[in-house]
Amino acid sequence: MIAGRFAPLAVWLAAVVAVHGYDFIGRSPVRWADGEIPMNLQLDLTLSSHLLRDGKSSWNEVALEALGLWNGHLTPVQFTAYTNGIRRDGNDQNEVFFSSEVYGHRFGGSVLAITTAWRIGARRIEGDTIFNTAIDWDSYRGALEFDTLDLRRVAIHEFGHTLGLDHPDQAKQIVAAVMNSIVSDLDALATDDVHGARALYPPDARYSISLEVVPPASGTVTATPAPDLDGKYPAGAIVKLRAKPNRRQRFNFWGGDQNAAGRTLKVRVVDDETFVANFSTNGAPVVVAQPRSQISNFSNPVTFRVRASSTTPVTYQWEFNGVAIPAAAGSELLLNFVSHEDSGLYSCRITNARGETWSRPARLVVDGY
Amino acid sequence: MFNPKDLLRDALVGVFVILALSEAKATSVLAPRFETLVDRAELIFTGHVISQRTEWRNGNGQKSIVTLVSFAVQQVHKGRAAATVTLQFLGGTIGDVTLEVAEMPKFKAGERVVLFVEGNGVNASPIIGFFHGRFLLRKDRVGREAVWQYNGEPLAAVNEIGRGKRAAGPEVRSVSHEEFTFQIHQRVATQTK
Repeated sequence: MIAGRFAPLAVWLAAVVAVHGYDFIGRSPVRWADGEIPMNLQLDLTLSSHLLRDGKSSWNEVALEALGLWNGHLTPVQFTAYTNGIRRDGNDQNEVFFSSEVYGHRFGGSVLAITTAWRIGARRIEGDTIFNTAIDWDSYRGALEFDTLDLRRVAIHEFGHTLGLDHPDQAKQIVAAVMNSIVSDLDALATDDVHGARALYPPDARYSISLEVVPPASGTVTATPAPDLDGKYPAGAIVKLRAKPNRRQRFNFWGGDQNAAGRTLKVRVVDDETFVANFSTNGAPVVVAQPRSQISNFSNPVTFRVRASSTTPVTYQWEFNGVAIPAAAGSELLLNFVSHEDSGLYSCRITNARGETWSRPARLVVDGY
Repeated sequence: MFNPKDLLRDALVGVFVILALSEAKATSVLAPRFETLVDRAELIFTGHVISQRTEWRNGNGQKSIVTLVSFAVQQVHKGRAAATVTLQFLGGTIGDVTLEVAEMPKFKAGERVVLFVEGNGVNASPIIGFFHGRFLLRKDRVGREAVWQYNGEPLAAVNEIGRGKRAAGPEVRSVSHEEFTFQIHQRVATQTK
């Protein structure tokens, strides 16, 4: 029984010292791009909900409130919550769930929750928060109880890690903060937590959008609303892009920072971004099956496939990062024994007597040795 | 130029603070006490970091990155160990892909440590309580090899382990490595009786 082993927590008297001690994960802060940070809340899928001590009837509701506390102090980014029953680590989704393990590893004794952060270079791509099913959880305010853990304050702390904050006390700062490594009677964000979040996500970021038409003069793209006088948008702005093909041209797909079909694209501005509208002539082939992005282990074979419809015979030319691959002239591209140098974007140019069209680019990621 | 850390240091000069030493938990980890660390540990040793490498892992169909840290073992206080011990920690960087696990202990080459190990290769962290079972050894002002806790605090006594961070106050003298390992051996002896 935990309760008997622990004396009551003393109050952090250092709270009266009005200084800032927040800390960031990593030597140089790694933050999410401006915009939404979607969080897939799946807590209720594992542990059945009951009436919790703060009146809530669902674990997801508790997590939602913890996210809302951070959102109230953030402008360029906002946590958004949704629930999707499909769960998988390494899937570029930020998932919040109960489990008895993390990435195939055990929590180890006395571990309450783990927050992971995947990133490629300085770009955050995924962060999961996993609460240990072995812990007796509830949700309450005020003094911390040692035999029943308050999921809400642990969630606030873990979501701070999701944002990119670390423990101020482990960076030798003495401040009152939910982000301290020691849980206390503090059950809400403290000033230092807010200052840390705002330092990581300053509220005034502005970004530009570049629009490209391929091939040139094959169509036009309009953005609504137009950017401000400085040619930029505020972080988080939602912009609708419309692609209009010229006469005897057809719109194919969006490339660049978005890979999507459909003439209209609705995007939230989260960085300096480029969108490419791909057009082709009316008689050009139509791609009916796009090549799919893949992750492969080092030295494995990889095949990309494309299918096109055309009333006249077609030829294929595969490209790697925009450069034609010699002798890659079929509807399938087979790469034997892939290495890390093969990681990148693969697309196929398909030509008939009346024009040419491109497949959407598919990404290959090669990992392991 | 404004530097929060300088401001903090200045603000704390002369500030009256009562020790906030209390039994505590890290938010993600229940902070184990000294007795728990010793009793639960499968292996306790003193050594130094000789190398680190990262690898991809596939557990239950979930891809992850692990960091393998190798230690040269100088003294074994509990359990058995070869001259080199390699511990596996969830997280790390391969190429430009990084899996960061909040609160996971990190090591520097050459660093001398006392480690309390449990579930190596099975647990996300083989150090008991993530960072709580890792103690850094550094020379103090008089040249003794002294023991420091995960939070950069000197370890004044083993009964401080598992308690909160000590607030600013008079400088505390760390226990020496010798004193610390003596206490470990004493506790191990009570276990084996």
